[in-house]
Amino acid sequence: MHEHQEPTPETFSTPVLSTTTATATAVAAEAAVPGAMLATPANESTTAQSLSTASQEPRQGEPTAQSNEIQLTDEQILTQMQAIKDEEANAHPLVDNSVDLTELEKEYENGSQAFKNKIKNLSDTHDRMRRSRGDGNCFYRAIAFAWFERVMLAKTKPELYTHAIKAMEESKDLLLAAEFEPLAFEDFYAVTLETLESVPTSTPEALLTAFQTDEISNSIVMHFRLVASAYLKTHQEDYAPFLEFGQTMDEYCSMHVEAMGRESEEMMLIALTKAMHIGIEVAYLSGNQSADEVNFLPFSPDTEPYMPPLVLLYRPGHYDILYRKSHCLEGVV
Amino acid sequence: MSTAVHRRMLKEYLAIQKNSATRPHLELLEPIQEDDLLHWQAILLGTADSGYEGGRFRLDIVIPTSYPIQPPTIRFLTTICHPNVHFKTGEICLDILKSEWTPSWTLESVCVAISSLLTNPEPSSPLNCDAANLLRCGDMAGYNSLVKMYTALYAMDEDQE
Repeated sequence: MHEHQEPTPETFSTPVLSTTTATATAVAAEAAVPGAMLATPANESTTAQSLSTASQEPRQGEPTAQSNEIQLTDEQILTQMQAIKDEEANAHPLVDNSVDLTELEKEYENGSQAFKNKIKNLSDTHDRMRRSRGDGNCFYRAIAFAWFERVMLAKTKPELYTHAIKAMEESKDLLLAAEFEPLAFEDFYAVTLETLESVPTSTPEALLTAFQTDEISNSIVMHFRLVASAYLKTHQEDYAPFLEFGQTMDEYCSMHVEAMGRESEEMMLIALTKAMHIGIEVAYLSGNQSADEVNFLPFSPDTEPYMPPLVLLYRPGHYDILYRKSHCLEGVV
Repeated sequence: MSTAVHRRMLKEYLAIQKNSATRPHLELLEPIQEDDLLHWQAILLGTADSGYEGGRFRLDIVIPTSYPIQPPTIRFLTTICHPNVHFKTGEICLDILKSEWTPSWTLESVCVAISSLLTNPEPSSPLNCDAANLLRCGDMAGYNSLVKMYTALYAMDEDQE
């Protein structure tokens, strides 16, 4: 890494030390991304470390060349992390076909009785679910898809479309109020609006295909992320008290809300319900033994909601879409 | 994907041309060739109150087709002595180019961030340990003269090259 230094064993030890530190820092930074990816970078770090040590012993004469071969730059680490994530993610579509709730039961066939009881109770009122890819964007993608789908299927309630378009227009004003550069958000906004405008003449299959297409799907996720961020930034007085000490809302938003792949927290749920005027109910499926009922956490907008709440299934670290039977009865879906 | 990134880069290109007066430390930010919007170059000017004064630092900017979801790859082409820049490869250690990237950045705002990194080094995550160690020891005289020397050696009279 520091080829301009004299390649003596003494100075050699410094760059090796610094490299492993840099790697550890990068890994620590990645560790801030919740999810199942933690095992791999940790291994990577140990590998880099042990290789460095190994190369130091037998070939002290030419350590610089050796260290060049095994040192990973931050960029390489990031590329590798991305490759691992892509590999895992590509096993599942961004948004999947909806399946019967019995599919969820099958997942817990060998699981604890608490899960089985909860799912059974859940199936009294809910009949289908739709999986969202576990790439850190699952909440935004699930909520966006559920919203678009609701608008699309509301044949008997065409005013839903008008409300949705209005919410989109308002979201642009919100982004401007939060002082986002139009350059930075208008492409995401345009793709999201275009997709919404195609809804009345499109089919559920086409909507699903759009959400399975990286460019369209990720643009919509980005728009929803920026809207959540814009809401939090323009309502700092209400939400800043929930931040870690010393952290500004801008820092929080750029680190946790705006960056792709960062998982959502309760604050983002609240922000999106209020910014898009949609209610969300989160069915919290946990292994808690003391209850047989799934806990529902309601998030309501400040205004009168123009559609029944969208329902998400939450299992620690992941969101999917749930379909409530009553919505079919109401003729909404 | 590629059409979206081209559309975005064209917009950025037009916006940069319009704002050129508002960025004193950015002499240049443009595609290297008019027909390739995914490969840019920039020239940063060293600020007057720093060891980089008088220096012109050329950046190489590669835009991935997944931009702006993914960050651009930016490195110094001009050799520069800075705790967070690799002396040989020009790699830059700046969080917003790596783990802290968000799509709300633009090329222009990123270049401004790199420019401000020059005067606000972060010695705790160094790519150049010699420079970082001087800073960590508080040897400002040593640090500044090292920076000045390399600026004079590599970053002046670049046009003649």
